[in-house]
Amino acid sequence: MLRELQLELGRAFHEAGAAGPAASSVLGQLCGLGEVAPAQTLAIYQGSVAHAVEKALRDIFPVCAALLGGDCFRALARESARRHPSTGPDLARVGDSLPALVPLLSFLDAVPYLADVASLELAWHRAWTQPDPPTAGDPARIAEAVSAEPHRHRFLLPPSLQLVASEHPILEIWQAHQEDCEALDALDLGADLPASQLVVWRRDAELRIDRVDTGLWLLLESIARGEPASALLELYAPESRNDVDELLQQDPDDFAPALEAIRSLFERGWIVGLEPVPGRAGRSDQT
Amino acid sequence: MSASTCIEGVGLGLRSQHYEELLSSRRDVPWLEVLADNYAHGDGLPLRHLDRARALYPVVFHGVGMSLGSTDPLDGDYVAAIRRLARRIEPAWISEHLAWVSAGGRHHHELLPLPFCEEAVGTVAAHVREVQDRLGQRILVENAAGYLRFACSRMSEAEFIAAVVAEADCDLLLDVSNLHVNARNHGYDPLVFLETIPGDRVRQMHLAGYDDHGSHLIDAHGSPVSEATWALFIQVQGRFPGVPTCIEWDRDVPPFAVLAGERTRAAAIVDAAVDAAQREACLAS
Ligand SMILES: [Fe+2]
Repeated sequence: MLRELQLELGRAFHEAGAAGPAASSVLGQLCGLGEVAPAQTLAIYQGSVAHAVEKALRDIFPVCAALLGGDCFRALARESARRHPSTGPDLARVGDSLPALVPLLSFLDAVPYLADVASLELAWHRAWTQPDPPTAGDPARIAEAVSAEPHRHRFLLPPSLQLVASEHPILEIWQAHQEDCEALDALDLGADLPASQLVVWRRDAELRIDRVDTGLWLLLESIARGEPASALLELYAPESRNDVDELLQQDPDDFAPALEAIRSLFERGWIVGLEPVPGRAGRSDQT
Repeated sequence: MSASTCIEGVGLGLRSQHYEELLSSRRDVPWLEVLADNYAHGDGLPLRHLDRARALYPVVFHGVGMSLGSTDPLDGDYVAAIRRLARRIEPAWISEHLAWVSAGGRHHHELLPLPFCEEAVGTVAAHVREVQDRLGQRILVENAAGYLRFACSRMSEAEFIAAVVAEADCDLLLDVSNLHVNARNHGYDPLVFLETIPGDRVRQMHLAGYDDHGSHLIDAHGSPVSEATWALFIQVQGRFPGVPTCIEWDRDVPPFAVLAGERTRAAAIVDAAVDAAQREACLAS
């Protein structure tokens, strides 16, 4: 009996008012609370359950909330809870599906950059809770391992590092909201503002968003996809895309720019180690 | 000295808004209550703050996600995460609510009320026992504020709590504000409640503010402790003198000084209750 009661109440909490099928079915099992009628007591929970999700989303997506305003953001939160019911205890995860949901909602069409701003805010939120990277390896040893066996190794990004790309100036929008809400009004979104290729990450206690050029972006994307180091070298390889091992042996100087770029990623803390590519026999030490 | 003996007087719930005040150096706060859910699921910066808190203060854990009253099986991953965190931080104890949060796999992220019946006693007690087995320690269960009254309830809230404690062999966290809110909303006498619960199991108390909606009160944790709750707290401390108490404030968290003021007021009540009990003991001997 308790089981059925909880399942029915669970459905009723996500309905609006007392007329929904679950609410009407469960009301017969409730008594009033002094002067408060059973339907009103149910409404207390309908309100608080919706508010819990909305509040969590507002904490994760403060800029989206400011861009949309109270009622519109509330509608987004309700739609998020309806389409993606929470299945875990961690309230910090309720926003995971929000960036993908935004483009599906026609009432948000007037804010074409909203989904990308949401992606940036979600990345920022996640960067808080991702663990610190392992102690960085020795760059010289790593360079040696990569040059010797680029197919067999892949680089490791810090756990907090996430890539966010947008054709909209989402960093400027985000920054305008960090400093002063009125600053967004001063930002002419129709002007020729830059597209965004952004790295969101955490260095010790400092969260950062850095804009990167396309060259670095391609390297980071390749690493994030888990591709071997040879794939990175190919990005810099002379026109023929032959075997990188062979090319390295023939003329290692061709790869100097690639190795230089990788070295700069190390220095910035965006590469924190090297690991063997799964499924390939190779050196097993994490450098 | 066991960890739990460090928990004396009136502590504060640690909130991120007060990291600066509380964690830059040790303040005049004897211990902190930590919402374990905020730290159990991730790593990174939150955990660094918690390590810092632990280095400065004794700590107790409080949880909201265990869903002890759910008819779903216990979430083993959740309990394991709390256990991992407890191994790292070594809280004096761990508390949870007499409520359910999820059912049928869906999480509502709200403390939901149970009917006061034998079946619910059995469900909660079985989960409490399982949690205690997995954590390797007794936990405290808290009386939650509830705004539904079920036709199938067969006992009072206090009888329900007493039955759970007896069947699960657990301890109690007595939320004095929830007691006031429930007593007002459900129309019962809080003093009868205090006589009915097993007083020797009360190891911690809570104080918080509520919203007064006229026809009913809502436990909202967004305002100072009400005068009515302070008056009840004096009576509760008179009955259970010296039980460590924590001020909770979750919504519209005020400047630290406001919370410190609430703490000082509560501490004076606890001290007075302990003094009175000692005087009485002297006279009796
Ligand atoms: Fe409480």
